[in-house]
Amino acid sequence: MTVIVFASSKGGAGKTTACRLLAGEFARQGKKKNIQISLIDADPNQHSAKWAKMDGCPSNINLIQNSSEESILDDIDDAEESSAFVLVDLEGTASMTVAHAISRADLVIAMSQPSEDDEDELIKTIKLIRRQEKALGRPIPHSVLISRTNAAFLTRMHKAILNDMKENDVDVFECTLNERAAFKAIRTYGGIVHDLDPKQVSGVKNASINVEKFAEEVKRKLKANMVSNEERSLAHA
Amino acid sequence: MPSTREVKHFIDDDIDLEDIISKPKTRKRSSVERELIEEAAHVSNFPSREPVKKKIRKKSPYINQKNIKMRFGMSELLADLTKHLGFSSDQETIEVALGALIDKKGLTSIKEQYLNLINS
Repeated sequence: MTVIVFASSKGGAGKTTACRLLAGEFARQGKKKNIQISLIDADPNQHSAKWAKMDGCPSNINLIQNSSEESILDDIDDAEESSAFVLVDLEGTASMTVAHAISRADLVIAMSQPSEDDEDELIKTIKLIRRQEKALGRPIPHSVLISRTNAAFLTRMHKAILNDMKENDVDVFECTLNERAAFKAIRTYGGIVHDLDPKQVSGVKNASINVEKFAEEVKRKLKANMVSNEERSLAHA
Repeated sequence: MPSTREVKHFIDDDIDLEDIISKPKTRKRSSVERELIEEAAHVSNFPSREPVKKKIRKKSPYINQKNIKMRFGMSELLADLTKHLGFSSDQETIEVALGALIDKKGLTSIKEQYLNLINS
């Protein structure tokens, strides 16, 4: 029932990686309570779907593949009926599919690498969200997540993006997704980061912490949005 | 004693997933909302990437040509009649007229041939 959309009109911004990581982490945290997660793959390359079909993928992740412009709204609505969380991995292009998915989101995670080209596309995506908010007359919560960062230091470009977002009142995740072998390894070995064998993959522990921090911040943002929605409803009443 | 020490970290994750599941939405899809979303998408350069469906022109059943000479003004009369009767073409008017003539003269064997042609 909570819809999280990963958006960027550029490929390679980290949407699929972030989507897989969050799906895996939410599935891990919700396993005992049988909380179901739907993963909608609306990217024609179907990389999220390939991971979800591998051995080791948590059993409480339900995959919906080959979602398209025509089917995306139905796919989200159907997934909302069967799952507590719906995660949508979109194609890295500026398309109507992105626009439709954003319109259903409880949280849009707009992705960007610390690069000029990525930031240009990030701005394009945020402009779309803001136009939709205006047209629909309701807020569409969105935050920027910077991916493929260096864990040791902030690059000049990374600082520049943070500054640009601050100047334009755009919320940015405190955490970033670092460039990590473990994030790529889940596509090779299947499953989630916590299940990787540290003998096979380096930096599993730090990668696990990175994912937990990301998931914690997503939850915090969703909680804050719920509170402001309730306050808005009360004000309307 | 374990060979490696457990790393302590500072993540204050006290939010249960159950606490952030939003209530079922009552939002209903409307064509107005769809139009607004699509308009915002167009302005933002997020166009449709669906393959454009080719418009296939309906094949005309009138493919055999018969040139007949008419009295002066008959061609215009036929056009006026077609317009008056609300038919889509002069061919249709002629076909209906032929059908009516066959009925009036009671030509049952030709009627069958006529219907076969019309319905094919």
